[in-house]
Amino acid sequence: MGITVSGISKRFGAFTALGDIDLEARPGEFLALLGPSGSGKTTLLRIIAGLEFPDTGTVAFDGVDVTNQPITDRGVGFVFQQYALFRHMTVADNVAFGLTVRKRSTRPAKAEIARRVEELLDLVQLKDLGKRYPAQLSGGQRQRVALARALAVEPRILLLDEPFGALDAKVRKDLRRWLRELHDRMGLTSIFVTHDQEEALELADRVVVMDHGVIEQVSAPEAIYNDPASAFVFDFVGESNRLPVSVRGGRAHFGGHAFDVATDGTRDGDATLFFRPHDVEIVGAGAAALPAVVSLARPRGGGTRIEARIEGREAPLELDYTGDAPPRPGDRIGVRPLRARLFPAG
Amino acid sequence: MSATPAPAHQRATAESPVARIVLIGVALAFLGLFLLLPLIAVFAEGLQRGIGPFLDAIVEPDALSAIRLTLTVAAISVPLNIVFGIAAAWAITKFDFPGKGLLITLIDLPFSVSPVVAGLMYILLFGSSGWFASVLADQDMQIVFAVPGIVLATIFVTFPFVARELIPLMQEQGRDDEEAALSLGASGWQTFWHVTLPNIRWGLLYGVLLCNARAMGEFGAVSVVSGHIRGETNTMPLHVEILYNEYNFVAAFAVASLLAGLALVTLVLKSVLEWRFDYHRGGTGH
Amino acid sequence: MTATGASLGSTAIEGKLRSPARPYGKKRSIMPGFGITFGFTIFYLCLIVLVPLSAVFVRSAGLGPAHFVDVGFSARAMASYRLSFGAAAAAAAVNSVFGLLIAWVLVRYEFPGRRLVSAMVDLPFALPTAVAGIALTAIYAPNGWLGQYLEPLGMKVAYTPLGVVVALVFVGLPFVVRSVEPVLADLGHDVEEAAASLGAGRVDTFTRVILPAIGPALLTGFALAFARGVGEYGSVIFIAGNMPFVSEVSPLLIVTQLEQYDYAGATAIASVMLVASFALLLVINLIQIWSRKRMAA
Repeated sequence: MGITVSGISKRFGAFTALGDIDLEARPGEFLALLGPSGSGKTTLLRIIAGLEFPDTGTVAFDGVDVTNQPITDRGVGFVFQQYALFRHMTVADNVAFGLTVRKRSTRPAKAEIARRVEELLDLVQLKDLGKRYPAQLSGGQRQRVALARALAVEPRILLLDEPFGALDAKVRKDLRRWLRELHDRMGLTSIFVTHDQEEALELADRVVVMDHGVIEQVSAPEAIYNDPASAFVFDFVGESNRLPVSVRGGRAHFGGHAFDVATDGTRDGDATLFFRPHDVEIVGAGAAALPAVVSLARPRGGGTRIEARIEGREAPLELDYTGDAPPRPGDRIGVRPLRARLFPAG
Repeated sequence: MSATPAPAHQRATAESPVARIVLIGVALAFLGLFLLLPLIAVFAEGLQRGIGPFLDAIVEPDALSAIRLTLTVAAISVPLNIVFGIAAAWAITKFDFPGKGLLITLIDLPFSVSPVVAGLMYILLFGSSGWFASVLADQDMQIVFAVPGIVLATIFVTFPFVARELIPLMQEQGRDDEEAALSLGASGWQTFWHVTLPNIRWGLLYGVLLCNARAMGEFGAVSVVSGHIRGETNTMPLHVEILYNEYNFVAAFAVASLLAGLALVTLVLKSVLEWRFDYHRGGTGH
Repeated sequence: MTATGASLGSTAIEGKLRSPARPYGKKRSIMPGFGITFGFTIFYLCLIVLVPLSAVFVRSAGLGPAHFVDVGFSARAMASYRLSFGAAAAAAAVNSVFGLLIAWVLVRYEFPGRRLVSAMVDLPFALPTAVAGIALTAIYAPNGWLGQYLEPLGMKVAYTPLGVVVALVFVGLPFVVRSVEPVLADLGHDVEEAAASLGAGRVDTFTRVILPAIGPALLTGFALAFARGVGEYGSVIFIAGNMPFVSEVSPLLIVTQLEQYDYAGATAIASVMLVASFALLLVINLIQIWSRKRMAA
C-alpha cells in the first residue's frame, strides 16, 4: 500500500513542527525518518498514523484520502516507543486485543482468535510466553509483543516510533535484521522513526532526513552518505569536518591557504567546506595543503585516527590515516581534502 | 485560555469538546453540591442574623473557653506526634530490622479505628470501672471526663499523620546525605539538624498541617471521653454540638464558621506547599 | 502510588541520583540513634495504640461467648451494623463513580479554576466532621436549603438512612479521588493511542484498557472510603435522625450504651467493629500487594 503525504504542515502554538511536507512511500518500501529531536519526524509519523491531525495538507493511502480518518479506522499498525503494552493483560490478550474489540459482525470466533494469536507469537518467536504479563518480559521480548499486537489486525502499513530506542546494543542489532525480514515477508509498507543514522542507513530502502520540520533529503542510504544534499545532511549523517572558507576562482581559501576543491559551480564568496575523515590525503608539511599539527593519534579500525589542529579553528580536524607510518603527536602535516563538498554559507 | 478557537481535532484519543464539557460539568456539579454547598451553608447560617449575633456567639465565655481548650489540646498533642513521627520515620528509614512492615501497619492502625471506639478504649482503661481506676483514685487523678482524656483521644486519632508523611519521603531520600555528614565528622544530632531536617521540612510541615486540622476538629473520640462539662471539658466541635442541640443554630454555626475557617486556612497552606514548593505526596491522607 | 518527586529546588536533582535505602540484611550501621528512636516509637505506640486497643478485646473476652453474642449481635446492634456497613458501601460506591470522574477531569483536562477545584477536593479531610454534619443537616432538613424542594417530591434525606449515605459521601470522596489521581496521571497516553491504533473506540478503550489499569487504585479508594464510613460518627449523627433500628449507626449505638453505663454492650459492639476494620485493612493491603505484583514494570 502506497502512502502519499502532500503539503502537510503542523504547528503547536508558536512552534512549527512541520512545514509543508511532501513525501511518498511506495508499496512495499521500508522508509526511515531520520533527524535530531525536534526535527518533526515523530509528528509526521503520528500524522500518517492518524494520531495527530495536520493543520494543512493531506495523507492518502493508495490514492484514497485518509486525512480526516481517525486512527481507529485507518488500519495501520503502530509500534510505540515505549511499546505501550497493556500491563494488566497477558501477552496473548495483548496480541488478541485488536481482534477482540472488533464489532461482532467482523470479529473472528474465539478459537480463530486463539489460533491467530498462536501464529503471531510463533512469528515473533514468543511461542510459550502467551500467559506471561508484560512486566515479566525483557525489553526485546516486549518489543516483539508490541509488534505482534500491531500485526494482529493485518495492517498493510506498519509505523514504528523509535522501535529500538529502549533496547541495548546487542538486542537492537538482532531485532533490526529480524524486522527487515518480517517486513519483506509480509509485504508491508513500513515507516520508522529514528535518530540513529546507523539504524536508518542499514535498515531502510530510502532514508528521509529531516530537520526543523522540513525534509532535507530523501535518498537511498548510499546517496545519503555519499551525496548529501545539504550542509545539514553532511553534518548529521556520518562523521565530517567542516571548515568555513571563501571561494575564489575555483579554489577554496582558508586562513591564507588555498586548495583545490570541486566547487560544483558554487559562486564566489563565503562557503562551508565539508569532508569526511577518510576522504583526505595526509601529506608532508609545506605541500599545497592545509597545514596542521597532530595533537592526537590512536589506532582505530584498520588505521589510525588523527586529531590535528589548524590555525584559526578551535576544534581539531578528525582524520583517518591508513598507511604504515602514521604521524605522531607534534608532527606537522598537510591536509588535502580529496572529496569535499562546498555549501554556500548562510 | 487562548482566544483562538481550538482546531477541530487535537489528539486522536481526546474526547470531543462536548463530551469534555459535560464531564467537567458533572464533576463540578457534584463537587459543588457535596462539598461547596455545605461550606457555604456554615457561613450563611452563622451570619443569617447579621454580624452582631455571630460575633456574640464567638466571644461568649463558654465559646472562648472552648477555643482555649481546643488550642491547648492541639498545642500538646501535635508536638508529641511530631516527635513521635520523626523518631518513627528515623528508625524505620535509616535502619533495617525485621518486622518493619508490621510496624508501619501498626502506625497506620488508628486511621482504621472508629473515633468512638478510640474514645471507648480510654474509658475502659481510665474510667470508673477501668483497669487503672483504683490507681487513679488513690492519686486523686482524673483522666477521662477531663482534659487529659481529651488529649489522649486526640493524640490517638492524629497519631499517624506526621509519621506516614515522613516515612515515604525519607525512604526516597535514602541515607547518603546523613552518611556523608557523619563521615565529615558531624555528630548524630548535628546531622539530623543540619542535613535531615532541611531535607524533610516541607513534608514535615505538610504532616503537621493535617495533624493540626484533625486535632482541632476531632469530634467523635473527644466526645466520648469529654464528659461535656461546659466551660471546662468542651472543645470547639463539642461546643458546636451543644449549641446545635439546644436549637441555638446561629451560635452553633458561628462557632462552626471558625472551624470552617481553620479548614480553609489548612487547605490554602496545603495548596501553597503543593504549588510553590512542588511538594507532592503520594497515596491518601486521612 | 508511592510518594514521588519531592522536588524542592536543588535537592530534587540530587534526590534523583541518590540510591534507595539499602536492602535488608545489612546489620551494622554508622547511623546513630537507632536505640532511642526505635525505643521511643515502640513505647509510644504501645502506650497510645496497642494497650488501649487490647483493652477492648480483653474486656470483650471477659464477657464470655454467650453474653458477647447477646449484646454484640443483638437485634438493635445488627440493625446498626446493617446501616453502618450498608450506608458506607453505598457511599463508597457513589464516590467510586464520581471520584473517578473528578480524578479524570482533574488529570486530563485544563479548565479555569482547576487548581482551586483540586484544592477543594481535600475539604472533607480538613473540615471538622461535626461542622460537616450540621451543615449537611441545614441543607437537607425538610425545611433546609435543598430539603424544602426535595420534600414535596417525596424525597426525605435528613433523618433517614439516605441522610447517612449523604454524610458518608462527603467524608469519603477525597479517598477515592486521591487514590485514583496519581495512577491515572501515570497511565501514559500511548496506551490509549495503542488501543485506538488497534481499532478500539473510546468506550472499549475505557472499559478494557483504562479501567483495568486503574482498577486496583479504585478498589483501594473504595475500601478506604468504606472503612472510614463504617466508623464515622461526627458528620452522621446530626443528619441521621438516630432512630434505633432505622437510622442509628453503630458508633452512635456505642455512645448511647456508654451513656447508659452499659460498658459490656459498648465493648462488644466496638470489638465487632474493630475486627471489621482490621479485615478491611487487610483487604486494602492485599489489593496493593496484588496490583504491585502484577503490574510492576
